[in-house]
Amino acid sequence: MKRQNKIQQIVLIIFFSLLCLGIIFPFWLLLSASFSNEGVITTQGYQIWPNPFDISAYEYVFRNPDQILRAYGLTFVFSISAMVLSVLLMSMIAYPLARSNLKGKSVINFYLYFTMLFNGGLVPTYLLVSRTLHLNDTIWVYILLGLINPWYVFMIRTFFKGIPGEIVESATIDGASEYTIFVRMILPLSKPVLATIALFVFLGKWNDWNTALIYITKPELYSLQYLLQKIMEDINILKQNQELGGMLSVSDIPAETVRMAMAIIVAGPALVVFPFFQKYFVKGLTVGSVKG
Amino acid sequence: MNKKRLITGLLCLATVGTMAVGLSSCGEGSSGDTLVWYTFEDRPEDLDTVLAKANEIIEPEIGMKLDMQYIDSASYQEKMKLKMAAGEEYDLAFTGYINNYQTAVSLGGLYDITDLIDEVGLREVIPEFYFDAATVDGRIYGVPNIQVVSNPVCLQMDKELVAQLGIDLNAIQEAAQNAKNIDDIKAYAAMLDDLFATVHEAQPDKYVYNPTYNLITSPMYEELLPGICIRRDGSSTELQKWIDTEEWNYGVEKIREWYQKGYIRNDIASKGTSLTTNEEYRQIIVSAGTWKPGQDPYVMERDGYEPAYALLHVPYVGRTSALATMNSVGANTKHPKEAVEFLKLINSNKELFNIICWGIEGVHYTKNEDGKIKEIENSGYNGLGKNAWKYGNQFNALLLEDQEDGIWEETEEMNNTAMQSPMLGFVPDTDVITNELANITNINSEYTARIVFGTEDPSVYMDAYKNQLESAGLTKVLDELQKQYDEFLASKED
Amino acid sequence: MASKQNVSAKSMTTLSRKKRKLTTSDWQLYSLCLIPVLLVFIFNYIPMFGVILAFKNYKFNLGILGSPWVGFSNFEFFFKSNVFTQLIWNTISNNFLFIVFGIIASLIVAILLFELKSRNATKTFQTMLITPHFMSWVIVSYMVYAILNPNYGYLNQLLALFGIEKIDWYSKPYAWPVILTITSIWKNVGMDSVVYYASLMGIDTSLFEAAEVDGANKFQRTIHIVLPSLVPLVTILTILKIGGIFRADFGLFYTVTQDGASGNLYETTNVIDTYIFRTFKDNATGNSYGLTSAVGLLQSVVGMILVIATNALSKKVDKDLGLF
Repeated sequence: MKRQNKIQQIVLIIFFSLLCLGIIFPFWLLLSASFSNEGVITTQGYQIWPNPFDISAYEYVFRNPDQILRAYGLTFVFSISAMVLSVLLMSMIAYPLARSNLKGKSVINFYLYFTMLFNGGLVPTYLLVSRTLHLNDTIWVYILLGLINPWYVFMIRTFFKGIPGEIVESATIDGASEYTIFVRMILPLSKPVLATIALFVFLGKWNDWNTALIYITKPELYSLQYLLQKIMEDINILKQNQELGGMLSVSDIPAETVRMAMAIIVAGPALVVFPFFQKYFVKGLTVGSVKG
Repeated sequence: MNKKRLITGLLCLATVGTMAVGLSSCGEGSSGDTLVWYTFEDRPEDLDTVLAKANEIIEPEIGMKLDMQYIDSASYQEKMKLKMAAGEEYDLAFTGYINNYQTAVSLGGLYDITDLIDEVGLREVIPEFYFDAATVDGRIYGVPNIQVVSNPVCLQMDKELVAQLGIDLNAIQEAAQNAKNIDDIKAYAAMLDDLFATVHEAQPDKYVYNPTYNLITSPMYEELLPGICIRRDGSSTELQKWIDTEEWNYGVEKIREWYQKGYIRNDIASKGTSLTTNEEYRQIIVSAGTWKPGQDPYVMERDGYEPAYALLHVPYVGRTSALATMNSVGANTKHPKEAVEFLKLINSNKELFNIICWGIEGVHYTKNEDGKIKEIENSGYNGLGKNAWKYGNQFNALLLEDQEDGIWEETEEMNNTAMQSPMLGFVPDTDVITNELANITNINSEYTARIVFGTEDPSVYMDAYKNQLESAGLTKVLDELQKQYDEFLASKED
Repeated sequence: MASKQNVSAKSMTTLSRKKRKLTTSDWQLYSLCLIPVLLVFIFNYIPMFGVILAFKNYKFNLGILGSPWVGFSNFEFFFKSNVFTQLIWNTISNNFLFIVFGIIASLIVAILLFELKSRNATKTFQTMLITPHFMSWVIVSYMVYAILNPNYGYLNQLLALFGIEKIDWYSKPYAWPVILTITSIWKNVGMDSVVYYASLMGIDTSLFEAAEVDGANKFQRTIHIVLPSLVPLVTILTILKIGGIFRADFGLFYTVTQDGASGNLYETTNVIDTYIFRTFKDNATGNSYGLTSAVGLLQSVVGMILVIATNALSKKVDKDLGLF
């Protein structure tokens, strides 16, 4: 029996090692392509190992390092701010929803759920954000849009429900207010789910380029994703100009490898951040997904 | 006790909320005495200095200052669409190949300047046929920037290679330009076959041809709307379905043949015809593009050789050529008259135009003894004049050192003597055939790779393709457009 | 883990059910909701007035309210489109493949991970499996392109080693439901399996001990204990996904297919969302804003009906199943 178990474990480990290798492999391809030579790629194809090793794609992207570094900084700042604010606000609404004795709870539930199905569309949202609230061309547009995600609220709520009721009961008897209970007890007990949701929010913001596309015209406020998207798009526009009577020439831009290098630059930090949250991850999702 | 806390809590929350919304309400919004002009590209660092200088000319003339808003090219289209959709107040914006003029007009995003044009006297500085092109339902919503509008489709090759292989590009040019019927086209196509076979043999590692233009139909036809075309030479007032012309059908077979012979890259379906790097351009032996005076230095830089050309048709002003680069007035402007006055100014005042294009002499560029420009590197205002067609009459732009003398005169001459499209000034009303046109577009986009790039044998899909087009209402589209076109011709004669 | 589950049986849910009158505590709870509710109202509900665009021909100079009403003609335009059936079929069939194979794959991964004894190994594998989830579709499309490129892609280089001729995957429409399903699973299997895995961690271990005493083997254990415990979760996630079956993942269908590789792949990959995008881009209807709103509204309504229907159906099978 024991031996059989051991063999089973080994087989499982081999299986998962192969699976993970398969899953991770495309990342390696990306990395390898980003360090390849543009000419070699177009004539001989992608290689598993870059030969010759060529960093000109990174040189192109970083030829203006100020801009990229500023975008890194800005994206980090708004991602963190949005993360903190979003997790706090979502917990604030999730906590009352976790208390079944609250009147009108189902109304609020539906109020949130409805927004998952229906939305106003681009133009009305743009009108609101830029004409009424004047959030365009400010960092707030990154932070304030999409702060409350109903799906995340439901996940947090379900986790809160799993917290033993005695804790709240005894605190109430001691005369603590709901605010105190929420801040001093519920939040500290819910680290796993909060960390998990925080990671989701952070990465969502980190990967955001659409907001800048629509609301940001000041170059100093470009998000990282948008900036890189723009570098790529600029290469295309240069070409279009040329066909339409402009005189710009296409310079020697390594388009294919630049693309890959940009992907690495953007995705890198996200991949580095993830393992730090990992220890909360399974617990955060444990009860979080069960129906409420 | 608890109520107090509740109220304090609420107040705190409310403050946070107000702060979040209120902090940033100091957004844009044009002040009373400034014209706001949107255009694309990254904002030049030294724009303020240049604008100050430009305003010394503008303010006395029209009594307002100019403020230029640069939006990066990557999002210009998207942002202008939304600005128009949101009814933002602005005075001027670039329209054309991005931020499409006709789309903007049909969605009600532009200001009708027809009457102001005469009031301000804009016709004095811009030739009439530009306005013809920009007229929609008898009204004008924007001013085309004068530049090359008659560039013919051409084949372009390395001059040395042409000599080395003994290729006669002139014969091809002649055959193409004199093609009047399918037999002429077949003879011309046979010459292309020879040409392609020769260069393919000589340089088997490269791609012979990148299908950016239809070489077979370009000499004879101009497209009106998806699926519908007309003969360029005006010999017939009949509109035709592409699928009914022998030349188009022959062209589809030809492209398939070329694809099979390996002249066209075999990953064309996923790669598309867009080339982005010099490296990619240099892999093509025979480039299909357009020709205009003075383009050689740029071709040399990009393709790495001195070019020789075969022009596939004579210089030709197409129905929509002039609409590629324009400036229009925003629908919600508060200063329409000043905006049009400014358009007249920028199109006629050389000094102002060159300030906007090149900046200030001695600061951003220097002039040599021929009066040509040398840009001062990293001056904070570089390279904008290379795209002078964004701002107004390109022929007013000072030349760069490496540009030949007289290219503007040559271009203007070409524009003025070019053959004009028989459809120039004809803007069809598509409201009654919207569904049909959309369906035809759907079908065409599904078949792009097969028909334009030749990735599949026409005998496999052609019947199905034609049947789909017919059932999508191609005949109805043709009849409706023909009716409108006849009316247009009749009105022109009056 | 298990003990925590047990305690939570008497959780906050059961607290003081009898209170009827609003107390200070209730008011405090409401006040906590205030700002989030307000934010949702501002950013989600206020723009919803825009659904009227679905019934209008939006002209910028007339404004949303001033633009002319056109009744259902925007919907009609969509229904009458010659690609309508293609769009519906592709959207549903591809999503169906994603849902079915996605669930199967993540269940298998979750159950096998659960069998794995070493916590460290589990964590490492999970981390790697989840990684693709955080990649944008644009990045994924680069990877797919690098693999499938007909000339210099890795897959064709591999095939060449076995003497198989190069295949231009971007002009083989029938390969794409498979390619897209694999891509979708690759991106999501890690995250989905963690959700299932997490739920497995909550199974009462005494059940396993009992099973072992009864002499059940691992396979029997999986069939009789593990799988049944996952049924509610699978049901809920499926209901949610069915609600979105009329929405296609734009990035997957547009970017990863290289815009349907110039039309060659439309037969199997042209979906509602890519169609809307193209129509909007070309302004093919002259009223692209109206069309976009109309189709969006349609997707929402159909989504809601489907969620309610599946939910009712699952409840009919077992009244404990279901989302609400």
